[in-house]
Amino acid sequence: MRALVIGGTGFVGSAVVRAFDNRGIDVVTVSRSGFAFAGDAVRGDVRAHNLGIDPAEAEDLMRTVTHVVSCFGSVDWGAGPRLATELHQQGTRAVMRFAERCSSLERFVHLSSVLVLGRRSSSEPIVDELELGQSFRSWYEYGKFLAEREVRANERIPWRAVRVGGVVGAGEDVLPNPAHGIMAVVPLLLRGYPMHLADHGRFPCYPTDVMVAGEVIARAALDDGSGDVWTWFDDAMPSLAEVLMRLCSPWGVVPRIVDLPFLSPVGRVLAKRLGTPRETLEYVEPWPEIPVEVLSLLPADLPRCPPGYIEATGRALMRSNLAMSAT
Amino acid sequence: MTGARSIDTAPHPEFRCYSAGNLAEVAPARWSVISWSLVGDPVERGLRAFTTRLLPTARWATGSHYVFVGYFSCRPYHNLAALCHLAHELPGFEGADVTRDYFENVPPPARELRAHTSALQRMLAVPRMAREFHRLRPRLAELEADVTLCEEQVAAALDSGSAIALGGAMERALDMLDRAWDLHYSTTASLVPAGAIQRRLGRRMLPVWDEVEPLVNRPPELPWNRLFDGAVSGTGEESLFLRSPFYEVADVFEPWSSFAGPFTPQPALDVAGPEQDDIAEVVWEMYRGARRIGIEQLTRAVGDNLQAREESKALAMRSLHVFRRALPTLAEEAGVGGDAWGYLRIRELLSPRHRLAVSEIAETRREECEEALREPMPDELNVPLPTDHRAGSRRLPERPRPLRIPTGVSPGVASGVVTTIEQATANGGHTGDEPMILVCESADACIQTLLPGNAGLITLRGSMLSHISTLAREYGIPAVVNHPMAETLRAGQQVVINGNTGEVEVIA
Repeated sequence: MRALVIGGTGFVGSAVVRAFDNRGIDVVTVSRSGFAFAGDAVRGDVRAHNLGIDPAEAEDLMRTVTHVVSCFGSVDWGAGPRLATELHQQGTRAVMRFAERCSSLERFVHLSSVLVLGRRSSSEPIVDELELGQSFRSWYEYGKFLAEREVRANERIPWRAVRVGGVVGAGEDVLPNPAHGIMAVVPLLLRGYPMHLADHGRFPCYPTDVMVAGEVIARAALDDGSGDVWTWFDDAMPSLAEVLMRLCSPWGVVPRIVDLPFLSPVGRVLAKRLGTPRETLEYVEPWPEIPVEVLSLLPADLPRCPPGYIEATGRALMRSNLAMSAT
Repeated sequence: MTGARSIDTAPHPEFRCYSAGNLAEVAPARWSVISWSLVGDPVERGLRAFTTRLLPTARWATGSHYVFVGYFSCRPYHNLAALCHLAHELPGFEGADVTRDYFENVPPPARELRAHTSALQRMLAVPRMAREFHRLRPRLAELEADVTLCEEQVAAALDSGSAIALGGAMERALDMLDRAWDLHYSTTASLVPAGAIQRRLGRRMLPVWDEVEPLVNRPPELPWNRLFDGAVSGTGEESLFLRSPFYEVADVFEPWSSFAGPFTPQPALDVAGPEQDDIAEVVWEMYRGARRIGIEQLTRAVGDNLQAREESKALAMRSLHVFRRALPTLAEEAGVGGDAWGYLRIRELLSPRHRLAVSEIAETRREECEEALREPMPDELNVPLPTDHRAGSRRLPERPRPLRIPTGVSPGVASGVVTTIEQATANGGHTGDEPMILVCESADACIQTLLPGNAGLITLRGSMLSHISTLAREYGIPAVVNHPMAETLRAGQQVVINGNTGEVEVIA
């Protein structure tokens, strides 16, 4: 058994590599840096021809790899359409082309996101549907949507998609990027700036712990079955306000979350003036509703998010001082 | 147009920088005299009319010289200096807007004339431009009805063998041709200011506008789909022109057939492109509120204009095909044998006062053309000052060729094996499992049917608003134009292209 993790030096990818390594599985990391936290390392780039892997190495991998996990990508919510098409869509295509040529392939796992559901007008419960007539709040969402659509359309490989929510946690090897995603507002909250959130942020944002996410993705690769979608998040379903509060708690700061229902356009302008990234402002309204029951469709013995994992993220950021320097 | 070198037009005394760029992208390398008279003259009239509608006081756009085009040694040119001057005369635009969109991003020539238009006239040009936009759709509808009627009349006249009916139909066809080129160049010229305004506003509204622009600037519906459908099924008079090269009407005769290049379209079965999301809708849903309103409306206007441009091009080509069909009969009526009509101007063929001399004129021209065709013609001309011109040779000096600036015109990254138009045509537009990258010198809408089977496109010539760029974006095929490697790439090589940055890399 040999697992190939594309993007294995990223926040989630490194956790996946650890999960395979802890099980004693031979794991190979493909990354632009050519570095690996465990197992073997191969330099590559999903935007390059044949993943940019040296032909001799590629031939060896195609002969020996049994599991491919695609974890590459950027979570930059402010990026443009190139991120969606060049990186997520075409990168996923390139990774799948590579996987198709792996003669012993048993499973291909694609890391997706609950954000593929975008902005929905309907409140119908969602299980594993993808094309729901949704619109998108950022090119990141659209890119993840395109990538999952590519995977689901592939009939030549045994694929499985894993949708995760906002991934936080201390991480064993890599810290979360404080410049992107939910984390981008932490420095402003720490400085005492108020943040407008609809309903005071009392809506779920589906966080999960990175190490648990790594375990779940590894299980998705190793468990039987294919052609399905796993949706994974913390079953306690903390709200966005709660997540922000717990992220800021190591600093002893209580975020000033306000709801300006009649002044939201003004609030947006003010928030921009105060430095809130424009793309983050797209997430102040409730996210699509995902019923907690989707977790019951997954194997019962999957790990649960450990208590205090959100606070641990804050502590890790505080230690590294990254959150403050991100401003 | 008599005496030695009568095929050449006189260079403009003040606008002295000519470029084959925009025409060379889409048309055969050299044109017969009759094709020049069916394209060059109406284009000149159309651009003058457009300029006058926008800037009624622009006297520089009048006079006895060709202002906007030129024909030297059987090769058609646009007068780049004059077109850039037109941009300068409009509020907030400059020559670089013209060269970026249509002339392969070459540096605009130095200003030949200072602006003559008053600030008030410039401001008044803005509502006049808006009116041009507004009138495009009704003008197109009216022209399409007339072109269809004219096709029927010419077909009926040819069937009946009536010279009088054919002559009458030709007079109407000439008027129709003028209107077609006027409309095509109105849509083409309107896109420059519209695109420039959109770009400025877009950059202010969206930080990633430069990435978004090529995704949203698309025509709502291409006329070519319907026309190629007709060509495939063999039905419809309107699609017949697709079986001949664009622009050249004497295409079956030497030497003009040898210049036609690989443009003859080969209708394939897969006309429709791959199913794609309506990316514009994705964009507008993503950016809501004030950011969306202005830019969306402007983008829709640009998209409509792009569609009008493609439709007017198709109508101009259909109008030319009317002449292509009628000319052999007309020549016979005029007593001109064989291929000689390719050396005449259309008025010489139609006008009774020329009829006695047409054979003689044609033979003289044939010799002139043979001599002219032996001369290599540069892409760029910088005509010397009139005093030098009188003193020296008539040979037009070449403008120092600017470096080709590879331009990504359709976003995305693709890798695959290089194929040529000839290979793709032989395969009927179908490729195997291996992704193919179509490489050619230049291309026009006529290769549309070859596009869907390819993963990418590289051309030696082209600009952001070339027809092929519009088509590549429509099909979602990453495309790089104006790339020097298009000359050296060989079929079978593996390349990676980046339609955002214009990069091309040979892998094997």
